[in-house]
Amino acid sequence: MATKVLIIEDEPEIQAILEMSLQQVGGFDTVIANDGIEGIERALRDSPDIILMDVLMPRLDGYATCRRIKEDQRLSKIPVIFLTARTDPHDIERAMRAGATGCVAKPFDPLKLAGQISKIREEGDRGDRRDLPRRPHGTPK
Amino acid sequence: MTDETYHDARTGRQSSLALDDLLSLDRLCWLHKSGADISDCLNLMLTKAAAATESSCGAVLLRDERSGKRRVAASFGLPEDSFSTRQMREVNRILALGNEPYLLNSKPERPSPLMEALEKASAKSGMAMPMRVDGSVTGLVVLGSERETYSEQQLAVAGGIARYSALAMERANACKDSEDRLGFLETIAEISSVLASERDLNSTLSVVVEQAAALVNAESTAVGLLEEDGSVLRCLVAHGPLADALRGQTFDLTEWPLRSVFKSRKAQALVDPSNNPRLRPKDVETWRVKSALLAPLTLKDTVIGLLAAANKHGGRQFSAVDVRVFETLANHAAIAISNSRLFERNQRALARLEAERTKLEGILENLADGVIVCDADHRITLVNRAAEEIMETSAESLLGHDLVSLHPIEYRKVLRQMLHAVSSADGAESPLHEAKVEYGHKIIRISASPVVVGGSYQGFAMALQDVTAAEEVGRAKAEFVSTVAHELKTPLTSLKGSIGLMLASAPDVSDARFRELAAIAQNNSNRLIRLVDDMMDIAKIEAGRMGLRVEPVSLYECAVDAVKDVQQSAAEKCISLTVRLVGAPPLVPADRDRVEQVITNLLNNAIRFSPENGEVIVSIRRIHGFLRVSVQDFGPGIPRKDLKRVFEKFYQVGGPASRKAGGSGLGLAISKAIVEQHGGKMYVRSTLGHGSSFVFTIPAPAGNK
Repeated sequence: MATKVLIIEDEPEIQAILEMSLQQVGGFDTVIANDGIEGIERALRDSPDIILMDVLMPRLDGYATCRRIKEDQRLSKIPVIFLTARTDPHDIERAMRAGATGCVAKPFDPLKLAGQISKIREEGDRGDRRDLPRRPHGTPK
Repeated sequence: MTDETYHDARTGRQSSLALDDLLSLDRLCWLHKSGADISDCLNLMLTKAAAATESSCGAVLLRDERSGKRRVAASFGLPEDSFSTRQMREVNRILALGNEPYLLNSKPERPSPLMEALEKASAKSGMAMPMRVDGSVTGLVVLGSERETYSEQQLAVAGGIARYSALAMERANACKDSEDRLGFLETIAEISSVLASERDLNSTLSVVVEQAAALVNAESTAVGLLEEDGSVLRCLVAHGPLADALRGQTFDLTEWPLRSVFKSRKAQALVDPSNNPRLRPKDVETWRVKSALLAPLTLKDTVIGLLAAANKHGGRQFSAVDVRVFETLANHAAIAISNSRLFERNQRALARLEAERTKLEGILENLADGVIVCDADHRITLVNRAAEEIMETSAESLLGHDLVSLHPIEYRKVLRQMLHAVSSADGAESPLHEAKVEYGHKIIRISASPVVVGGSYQGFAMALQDVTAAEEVGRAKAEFVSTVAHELKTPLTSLKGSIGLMLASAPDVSDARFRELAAIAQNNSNRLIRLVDDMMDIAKIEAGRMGLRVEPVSLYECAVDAVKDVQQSAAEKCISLTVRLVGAPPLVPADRDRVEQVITNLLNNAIRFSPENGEVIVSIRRIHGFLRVSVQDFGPGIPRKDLKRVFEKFYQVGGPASRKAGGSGLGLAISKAIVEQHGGKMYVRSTLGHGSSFVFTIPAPAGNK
């Protein structure tokens, strides 16, 4: 059974690219939500294996959404990966404090995204969170 | 007092000098001691002697202190000119030979000139009694009588009176001399005391001239000091009738009489100096006085000036005693003058210090930044107004208190660390240490530097700068950059994702033109993303908000990862990349991603400027507490004129054309800022035609493994 990824992202174009990237390149199943509130509802309804989430969104931003997910016993074990254009150590730390397993920097390479998500998930499972790189996966150098 | 007894051989009777006579002689002594004219005293003695011996005339002949000649000190019943040279010769002869009273007319074969003088006053007999004390003869008493002869008793009584008078006068003189000396010492002590109480030089000099005039009974006195070059004496203060003429006058030290006084360093009395042939004609007017007294003002063998006294015509001459007295006063005056000068110099220095202090206080008070100075125990010793405003309290409530304990608890640790670093800083470390703390709504940047006096740590000075507004601007700027970055990156994410998927999802498209165009779009979207990232980095650096996540980092691993990142672009030009590790460098505290970013930047530059089939070498070694990383290429090198500017933003070696190579012109500026934020340095070495080496250092504290 394919890994199910919940994408919480308010930009329709990026939603489309993420869907295509994860489905076609990574072979994942995807579910889409347009903001944090909807994201939590879809998470409860669809029980995804991974949540991939934007930071700046209407109604409920990524940090608050992540905190609520981590506070909800039904959802707390689902790894949350932030998809963010904010790559400061300060922003990454904020994401980690909110409960994120890792971060992927925008703009991402659609061909590598699935691999990055799998790697973060594996690191998270190993308990390597504190050793997560400062700069999110995919940050251009 | 006892009566003195005399034996009269002629009558065989004992005769005594009456007690009241002796009391009268004692009165003579007392009178003389009290300063009465000596003639009055001697006249009293002569009267007593005449009455006791029934004499009708007589005289006392003494030696004059000044001239050394004999003179008539007292006489009665004799004409004024009774004693000529002949008589004086006889007096000298008697005093030289005989010590006993004797009768003048006892040897008719040898007529006595003194008897001749007495005979002119109708005397028929005469006697001479030396005034003798302890073997020395001070004078001669001569008595004449209208009777044929004196009796032995009368001779003995007269001799006794002469002897007793001599003794009484000697005692009186000794007593008077002691009292004079005591008086002199008292006067000098009094002058010294007055001089010691004077602080101002002019007042001291005024006291000196006034006291000098009183001490030697001079009409005019003056004091002059040597000018700084020591060649001219300038009269500063003068007293008496000559004061106006002397005050402000200068005198040449090479001319008489100053030359003589300064050379001998002894006080001198001058008699009628204007007639001295050594005086230059032009100075005659200056020295037109009857007598003068000059004493050098000497301090530790150095003459600093001159004390002078003068009497005009008709005034008295100065005695040897005056010279000694004057010299003593001059010595005291020299010390007083030196003290006054020292005092004035100290006063001037104090005034200068006070002025400097006032100036500094003014500057401190008007500084926009707060200033706090603490002693070595962190107790506050100085606070300016700005510091009071920043701390929102008064100086009184700050002074003497421990600086650290005045701060909120959360800042005490960082403050203690900073102050420990300040107090233990040696010359190799930067003496300025900074921290940022919040007082209420204010954000204050604190810079502390040690106060070291004569190599000893005395405490520290702290500047407090209110950076609230700057911090707000920084925050706003960072927020703006973040927002712009987000806004730019959203479409870039779509662009990059679309192109990537387009190329990936159409592998069978054989249209080479389509693939070429899609590749161009992909390259340029990547380039745009790099540019946005660089711009964000620069904005963060300039706002001072580039955070570092410091952890133990292996620079070798950073270099290896960076090499992997640029491997593809190196392969396109067939450039070999080598990482060389010299020794076993330790892990260093650094932000791994940022350091990797620096090495990647340097590698990209090196690849960009290397010829095809070239080589790029990354070397890592430990040098003097730092790890040194160099990225060396063998390209064309950088012209000398460009070397200093390569780290400027948007500066491109070779001008704008080189942008075609894909650089934003920000990479080196960002890299240098990252290195400096780590406490390291970045520089470049280059030789035209041989290549360039970009080198950076990262501190490697001792103990890191």
